[in-house]
Amino acid sequence: MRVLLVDDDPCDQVLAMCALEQWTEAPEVHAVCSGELAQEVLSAGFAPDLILLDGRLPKASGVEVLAWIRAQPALAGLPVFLLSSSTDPLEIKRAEDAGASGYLVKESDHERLTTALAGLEILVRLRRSHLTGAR
Amino acid sequence: MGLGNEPPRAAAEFLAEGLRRGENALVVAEPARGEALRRMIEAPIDRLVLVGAQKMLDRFMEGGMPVPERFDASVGRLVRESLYGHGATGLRVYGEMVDLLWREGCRSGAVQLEELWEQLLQRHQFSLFCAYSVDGFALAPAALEGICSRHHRLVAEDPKLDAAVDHALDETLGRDEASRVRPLIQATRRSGAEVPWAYKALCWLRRNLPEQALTVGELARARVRDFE
Repeated sequence: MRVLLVDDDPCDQVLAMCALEQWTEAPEVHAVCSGELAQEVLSAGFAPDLILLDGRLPKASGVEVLAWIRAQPALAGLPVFLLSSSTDPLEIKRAEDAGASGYLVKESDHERLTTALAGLEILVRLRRSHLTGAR
Repeated sequence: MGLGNEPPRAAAEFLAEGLRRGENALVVAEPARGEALRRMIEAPIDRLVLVGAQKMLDRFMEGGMPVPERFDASVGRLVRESLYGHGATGLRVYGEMVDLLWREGCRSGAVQLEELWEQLLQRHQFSLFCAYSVDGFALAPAALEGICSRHHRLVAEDPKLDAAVDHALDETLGRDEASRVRPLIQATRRSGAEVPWAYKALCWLRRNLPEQALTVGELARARVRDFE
Protein backbone atom coordinates (compact mmCIF):
# COMPACT_ATOMS: atom_id res chain seq x y z
CA MET A 1 0.00 0.00 0.00
CA ARG A 2 1.21 3.45 -0.86
CA VAL A 3 0.28 6.73 0.76
CA LEU A 4 1.06 10.24 -0.41
CA LEU A 5 1.30 12.58 2.55
CA VAL A 6 1.16 16.29 1.73
CA ASP A 7 1.94 18.57 4.66
CA ASP A 8 4.24 21.53 5.07
CA ASP A 9 4.54 21.12 8.83
CA PRO A 10 7.36 18.66 9.68
CA CYS A 11 5.82 17.87 13.10
CA ASP A 12 2.46 17.03 11.54
CA GLN A 13 4.24 14.92 8.92
CA VAL A 14 5.97 12.91 11.64
CA LEU A 15 2.72 12.46 13.59
CA ALA A 16 0.86 11.22 10.51
CA MET A 17 3.72 8.89 9.58
CA CYS A 18 3.77 7.45 13.11
CA ALA A 19 0.04 6.82 12.83
CA LEU A 20 0.46 5.12 9.46
CA GLU A 21 3.22 2.92 10.86
CA GLN A 22 0.63 1.46 13.23
CA TRP A 23 -1.19 -0.13 10.31
CA THR A 24 -1.13 -3.93 10.26
CA GLU A 25 0.72 -3.70 6.99
CA ALA A 26 2.79 -0.52 7.21
CA PRO A 27 2.39 1.43 3.96
CA GLU A 28 5.09 2.97 1.82
CA VAL A 29 4.71 6.67 2.60
CA HIS A 30 5.86 9.36 0.25
CA ALA A 31 5.83 12.72 2.04
CA VAL A 32 5.98 16.10 0.31
CA CYS A 33 5.63 19.60 1.73
CA SER A 34 3.55 21.41 -0.90
CA GLY A 35 0.69 21.00 -3.32
CA GLU A 36 3.01 21.72 -6.23
CA LEU A 37 5.32 18.86 -5.25
CA ALA A 38 2.31 16.60 -4.83
CA GLN A 39 1.18 17.46 -8.35
CA GLU A 40 4.70 16.80 -9.60
CA VAL A 41 5.01 13.31 -8.09
CA LEU A 42 1.51 12.36 -9.18
CA SER A 43 2.13 13.65 -12.69
CA ALA A 44 5.36 11.64 -12.75
CA GLY A 45 3.36 8.46 -12.25
CA PHE A 46 3.43 7.85 -8.50
CA ALA A 47 0.21 5.91 -7.87
CA PRO A 48 -0.81 5.98 -4.22
CA ASP A 49 -3.75 4.09 -2.70
CA LEU A 50 -4.52 7.05 -0.47
CA ILE A 51 -3.67 10.73 -0.22
CA LEU A 52 -3.57 12.62 3.05
CA LEU A 53 -3.67 16.31 2.27
CA ASP A 54 -3.10 19.18 4.66
CA GLY A 55 -5.89 21.73 4.30
CA ARG A 56 -3.61 24.73 4.72
CA LEU A 57 -0.65 24.48 2.43
CA PRO A 58 1.50 27.37 1.19
CA LYS A 59 0.54 28.65 -2.29
CA ALA A 60 -2.07 26.19 -3.57
CA SER A 61 -4.44 25.28 -0.71
CA GLY A 62 -5.44 21.72 0.12
CA VAL A 63 -8.82 22.21 -1.57
CA GLU A 64 -7.16 23.56 -4.73
CA VAL A 65 -4.81 20.56 -4.86
CA LEU A 66 -7.80 18.29 -4.27
CA ALA A 67 -9.68 19.91 -7.16
CA TRP A 68 -6.66 19.29 -9.39
CA ILE A 69 -6.50 15.64 -8.29
CA ARG A 70 -10.20 15.13 -9.02
CA ALA A 71 -9.70 16.62 -12.48
CA GLN A 72 -7.14 13.91 -13.37
CA PRO A 73 -9.02 10.92 -14.79
CA ALA A 74 -6.53 8.42 -13.34
CA LEU A 75 -6.86 9.89 -9.85
CA ALA A 76 -10.52 10.86 -9.81
CA GLY A 77 -11.67 7.93 -7.66
CA LEU A 78 -8.72 7.90 -5.28
CA PRO A 79 -9.43 8.33 -1.53
CA VAL A 80 -8.21 11.79 -0.57
CA PHE A 81 -8.65 12.87 3.04
CA LEU A 82 -8.13 16.45 4.12
CA LEU A 83 -6.28 16.83 7.39
CA SER A 84 -6.67 20.29 8.82
CA SER A 85 -6.47 22.20 12.06
CA SER A 86 -9.47 24.27 10.98
CA THR A 87 -13.00 23.39 12.08
CA ASP A 88 -14.56 26.17 9.98
CA PRO A 89 -17.79 24.73 8.50
CA LEU A 90 -17.19 26.69 5.28
CA GLU A 91 -13.82 25.06 4.82
CA ILE A 92 -15.37 21.64 5.45
CA LYS A 93 -18.09 22.40 2.90
CA ARG A 94 -15.50 23.52 0.33
CA ALA A 95 -13.59 20.28 0.85
CA GLU A 96 -16.76 18.21 0.43
CA ASP A 97 -17.73 20.11 -2.70
CA ALA A 98 -14.27 19.59 -4.15
CA GLY A 99 -14.69 15.84 -3.66
CA ALA A 100 -12.85 15.08 -0.43
CA SER A 101 -13.35 11.54 0.78
CA GLY A 102 -13.39 12.93 4.28
CA TYR A 103 -12.30 15.87 6.41
CA LEU A 104 -10.32 15.09 9.54
CA VAL A 105 -9.29 17.62 12.14
CA LYS A 106 -5.73 17.52 13.41
CA GLU A 107 -6.45 16.74 17.01
CA SER A 108 -4.24 17.73 19.91
CA ASP A 109 -5.15 14.25 21.13
CA HIS A 110 -2.76 12.30 18.88
CA GLU A 111 -4.12 8.95 20.00
CA ARG A 112 -7.54 9.87 18.63
CA LEU A 113 -6.06 10.81 15.30
CA THR A 114 -4.00 7.61 15.22
CA THR A 115 -7.15 5.58 15.93
CA ALA A 116 -9.04 7.41 13.18
CA LEU A 117 -6.23 6.93 10.66
CA ALA A 118 -6.14 3.21 11.47
CA GLY A 119 -9.53 2.95 9.79
CA LEU A 120 -8.00 4.18 6.55
CA GLU A 121 -6.11 0.91 6.21
CA ILE A 122 -9.42 -0.94 6.10
CA LEU A 123 -10.78 1.52 3.56
CA VAL A 124 -7.74 1.09 1.32
CA ARG A 125 -7.86 -2.71 1.66
CA LEU A 126 -11.57 -2.91 0.86
CA ARG A 127 -11.16 -0.69 -2.16
CA ARG A 128 -8.19 -2.70 -3.42
CA SER A 129 -10.02 -6.00 -3.04
CA HIS A 130 -12.99 -4.51 -4.85
CA LEU A 131 -10.85 -3.19 -7.71
CA THR A 132 -9.04 -6.49 -8.13
CA GLY A 133 -12.24 -8.48 -7.76
CA ALA A 134 -10.79 -10.40 -4.81
CA ARG A 135 -13.03 -11.30 -1.90
CA MET B 1 -43.47 -0.70 7.27
CA GLY B 2 -43.88 3.02 6.52
CA LEU B 3 -43.89 5.55 9.31
CA GLY B 4 -45.98 3.41 11.64
CA ASN B 5 -49.27 4.38 13.23
CA GLU B 6 -47.81 6.74 15.76
CA PRO B 7 -46.62 10.12 14.51
CA PRO B 8 -43.00 10.93 15.27
CA ARG B 9 -42.71 12.30 18.79
CA ALA B 10 -40.15 14.87 17.61
CA ALA B 11 -42.71 16.14 15.07
CA ALA B 12 -45.30 16.66 17.79
CA GLU B 13 -42.76 18.57 19.88
CA PHE B 14 -41.77 20.65 16.85
CA LEU B 15 -45.39 21.66 16.10
CA ALA B 16 -46.34 22.19 19.77
CA GLU B 17 -43.36 24.50 20.24
CA GLY B 18 -44.48 26.55 17.24
CA LEU B 19 -48.02 26.83 18.58
CA ARG B 20 -46.69 28.05 21.94
CA ARG B 21 -44.80 30.75 20.04
CA GLY B 22 -47.93 31.87 18.24
CA GLU B 23 -47.18 30.13 14.95
CA ASN B 24 -49.66 28.15 12.87
CA ALA B 25 -49.25 24.49 12.00
CA LEU B 26 -49.76 22.69 8.71
CA VAL B 27 -49.70 18.90 8.62
CA VAL B 28 -49.47 17.05 5.29
CA ALA B 29 -49.65 13.43 6.37
CA GLU B 30 -51.43 10.14 6.09
CA PRO B 31 -54.86 11.06 7.53
CA ALA B 32 -54.86 8.76 10.59
CA ARG B 33 -51.38 9.90 11.57
CA GLY B 34 -52.32 13.54 10.99
CA GLU B 35 -55.29 13.10 13.33
CA ALA B 36 -53.10 11.43 15.94
CA LEU B 37 -50.67 14.31 15.66
CA ARG B 38 -53.49 16.82 16.18
CA ARG B 39 -54.58 15.00 19.34
CA MET B 40 -51.00 14.84 20.63
CA ILE B 41 -50.42 18.56 20.34
CA GLU B 42 -53.96 19.63 21.28
CA ALA B 43 -53.90 22.37 18.68
CA PRO B 44 -56.74 24.92 18.56
CA ILE B 45 -58.86 24.11 15.49
CA ASP B 46 -58.16 27.44 13.79
CA ARG B 47 -54.39 27.15 14.17
CA LEU B 48 -53.83 23.78 12.56
CA VAL B 49 -54.54 22.68 8.99
CA LEU B 50 -54.56 18.95 8.28
CA VAL B 51 -54.18 17.74 4.70
CA GLY B 52 -53.89 14.17 3.40
CA ALA B 53 -50.45 13.52 1.88
CA GLN B 54 -51.78 11.40 -0.98
CA LYS B 55 -54.60 13.84 -1.67
CA MET B 56 -52.10 16.67 -1.90
CA LEU B 57 -49.74 14.65 -4.13
CA ASP B 58 -52.62 14.00 -6.52
CA ARG B 59 -52.90 17.74 -7.06
CA PHE B 60 -49.41 18.30 -8.44
CA MET B 61 -47.92 14.97 -9.54
CA GLU B 62 -47.94 13.93 -13.17
CA GLY B 63 -46.20 10.87 -14.61
CA GLY B 64 -44.28 10.29 -11.36
CA MET B 65 -42.87 13.82 -11.24
CA PRO B 66 -44.09 16.94 -9.46
CA VAL B 67 -45.18 19.79 -11.73
CA PRO B 68 -43.61 22.93 -10.19
CA GLU B 69 -46.48 25.29 -11.10
CA ARG B 70 -49.05 22.88 -9.68
CA PHE B 71 -46.94 22.36 -6.55
CA ASP B 72 -46.90 26.11 -6.04
CA ALA B 73 -50.62 26.42 -6.73
CA SER B 74 -51.44 23.71 -4.16
CA VAL B 75 -48.75 23.36 -1.49
CA GLY B 76 -47.34 26.84 -2.03
CA ARG B 77 -50.76 28.40 -1.77
CA LEU B 78 -51.58 26.46 1.39
CA VAL B 79 -48.30 27.56 2.97
CA ARG B 80 -48.96 31.20 2.08
CA GLU B 81 -52.52 31.06 3.43
CA SER B 82 -51.42 29.37 6.65
CA LEU B 83 -48.41 31.57 7.19
CA TYR B 84 -50.11 34.56 8.71
CA GLY B 85 -53.71 33.37 9.10
CA HIS B 86 -55.45 34.17 12.39
CA GLY B 87 -52.74 36.62 13.41
CA ALA B 88 -50.04 33.97 13.59
CA THR B 89 -46.38 34.91 13.80
CA GLY B 90 -45.19 32.16 11.51
CA LEU B 91 -45.75 28.62 10.33
CA ARG B 92 -44.45 25.14 11.04
CA VAL B 93 -45.09 22.40 8.51
CA TYR B 94 -44.92 18.65 8.99
CA GLY B 95 -44.70 16.66 5.74
CA GLU B 96 -44.70 13.03 4.65
CA MET B 97 -45.11 13.39 0.89
CA VAL B 98 -41.47 12.80 -0.09
CA ASP B 99 -41.34 9.61 1.90
CA LEU B 100 -44.62 8.43 0.43
CA LEU B 101 -43.34 8.96 -3.11
CA TRP B 102 -40.08 7.18 -2.34
CA ARG B 103 -41.86 4.15 -0.94
CA GLU B 104 -44.11 4.06 -4.00
CA GLY B 105 -40.99 3.83 -6.15
CA CYS B 106 -41.13 7.40 -7.53
CA ARG B 107 -37.54 8.07 -6.54
CA SER B 108 -36.77 10.84 -9.01
CA GLY B 109 -40.10 12.42 -8.12
CA ALA B 110 -39.23 12.27 -4.41
CA VAL B 111 -35.88 13.95 -4.96
CA GLN B 112 -37.49 16.60 -7.16
CA LEU B 113 -40.16 17.22 -4.52
CA GLU B 114 -37.43 17.78 -1.92
CA GLU B 115 -36.04 20.42 -4.26
CA LEU B 116 -39.43 22.13 -4.61
CA TRP B 117 -39.83 22.25 -0.82
CA GLU B 118 -36.35 23.76 -0.63
CA GLN B 119 -37.31 26.47 -3.13
CA LEU B 120 -40.52 27.19 -1.22
CA LEU B 121 -38.51 27.52 1.99
CA GLN B 122 -36.29 30.07 0.30
CA ARG B 123 -39.30 32.12 -0.80
CA HIS B 124 -41.25 32.05 2.47
CA GLN B 125 -40.30 32.15 6.13
CA PHE B 126 -41.56 28.89 7.59
CA SER B 127 -40.07 25.81 9.23
CA LEU B 128 -40.40 22.35 7.79
CA PHE B 129 -40.19 19.00 9.53
CA CYS B 130 -39.88 16.09 7.09
CA ALA B 131 -40.59 12.52 8.19
CA TYR B 132 -38.80 9.68 6.44
CA SER B 133 -39.47 6.04 7.16
CA VAL B 134 -36.70 3.53 7.63
CA ASP B 135 -37.86 1.45 4.66
CA GLY B 136 -38.15 4.51 2.49
CA PHE B 137 -36.00 7.58 2.05
CA ALA B 138 -34.30 7.38 5.45
CA LEU B 139 -31.83 4.56 4.83
CA ALA B 140 -31.39 4.92 1.09
CA PRO B 141 -27.73 5.89 0.74
CA ALA B 142 -28.43 7.66 -2.56
CA ALA B 143 -30.95 9.95 -0.88
CA LEU B 144 -29.14 10.48 2.41
CA GLU B 145 -26.55 13.00 1.26
CA GLY B 146 -29.35 15.19 -0.02
CA ILE B 147 -31.36 14.81 3.17
CA CYS B 148 -28.37 15.65 5.33
CA SER B 149 -27.33 18.67 3.29
CA ARG B 150 -30.84 20.12 3.06
CA HIS B 151 -31.84 19.91 6.71
CA HIS B 152 -30.59 21.84 9.71
CA ARG B 153 -31.07 18.92 12.07
CA LEU B 154 -31.83 15.25 11.76
CA VAL B 155 -33.45 13.16 14.44
CA ALA B 156 -33.57 9.36 14.45
CA GLU B 157 -36.97 8.71 15.95
CA ASP B 158 -36.33 5.00 16.11
CA PRO B 159 -33.76 4.26 18.82
CA LYS B 160 -33.00 0.95 17.13
CA LEU B 161 -31.69 2.61 13.98
CA ASP B 162 -28.14 3.18 15.21
CA ALA B 163 -27.91 -0.38 16.50
CA ALA B 164 -29.27 -1.72 13.22
CA VAL B 165 -26.66 0.15 11.18
CA ASP B 166 -23.91 -0.91 13.58
CA HIS B 167 -24.93 -4.52 13.24
CA ALA B 168 -25.10 -4.21 9.45
CA LEU B 169 -21.65 -2.61 9.42
CA ASP B 170 -20.25 -5.60 11.35
CA GLU B 171 -21.90 -8.03 8.98
CA THR B 172 -20.77 -6.24 5.83
CA LEU B 173 -17.19 -5.30 6.68
CA GLY B 174 -16.44 -7.94 9.31
CA ARG B 175 -16.43 -7.22 13.02
CA ASP B 176 -12.71 -6.36 13.33
CA GLU B 177 -12.73 -4.18 10.23
CA ALA B 178 -15.89 -2.39 11.35
CA SER B 179 -14.39 -1.71 14.76
CA ARG B 180 -11.45 0.01 13.07
CA VAL B 181 -13.54 1.98 10.59
CA ARG B 182 -16.00 3.32 13.20
CA PRO B 183 -13.54 5.79 14.83
CA LEU B 184 -12.64 7.07 11.35
CA ILE B 185 -16.29 7.66 10.51
CA GLN B 186 -16.83 9.34 13.87
CA ALA B 187 -13.79 11.56 13.35
CA THR B 188 -14.82 12.62 9.84
CA ARG B 189 -16.30 16.11 10.00
CA ARG B 190 -19.34 17.00 7.94
CA SER B 191 -20.79 20.30 6.88
CA GLY B 192 -24.46 20.97 7.50
CA ALA B 193 -26.76 19.24 9.93
CA GLU B 194 -25.73 17.32 12.98
CA VAL B 195 -26.78 13.82 12.11
CA PRO B 196 -27.36 10.67 14.13
CA TRP B 197 -24.73 7.92 13.91
CA ALA B 198 -26.77 5.77 11.52
CA TYR B 199 -26.98 8.54 8.92
CA LYS B 200 -23.39 9.64 9.42
CA ALA B 201 -22.15 6.10 8.85
CA LEU B 202 -24.27 5.61 5.73
CA CYS B 203 -23.25 8.95 4.23
CA TRP B 204 -19.59 8.13 4.86
CA LEU B 205 -19.94 4.70 3.28
CA ARG B 206 -21.82 6.17 0.34
CA ARG B 207 -18.90 8.50 -0.34
CA ASN B 208 -16.11 5.98 0.23
CA LEU B 209 -17.48 2.48 -0.21
CA PRO B 210 -20.67 2.86 -2.26
CA GLU B 211 -21.30 -0.86 -2.74
CA GLN B 212 -20.96 -1.57 0.96
CA ALA B 213 -23.26 1.40 1.66
CA LEU B 214 -26.05 -0.29 -0.29
CA THR B 215 -25.55 -3.57 1.57
CA VAL B 216 -25.43 -1.87 4.96
CA GLY B 217 -28.60 0.11 4.14
CA GLU B 218 -30.43 -3.08 3.09
CA LEU B 219 -29.28 -5.09 6.10
CA ALA B 220 -30.13 -2.27 8.50
CA ARG B 221 -33.63 -1.97 7.04
CA ALA B 222 -34.15 -5.73 7.43
CA ARG B 223 -32.82 -5.54 10.98
CA VAL B 224 -35.26 -2.77 11.93
CA ARG B 225 -38.09 -4.82 10.42
CA ASP B 226 -37.00 -7.78 12.58
CA PHE B 227 -37.11 -5.56 15.64
CA GLU B 228 -40.74 -4.60 14.88
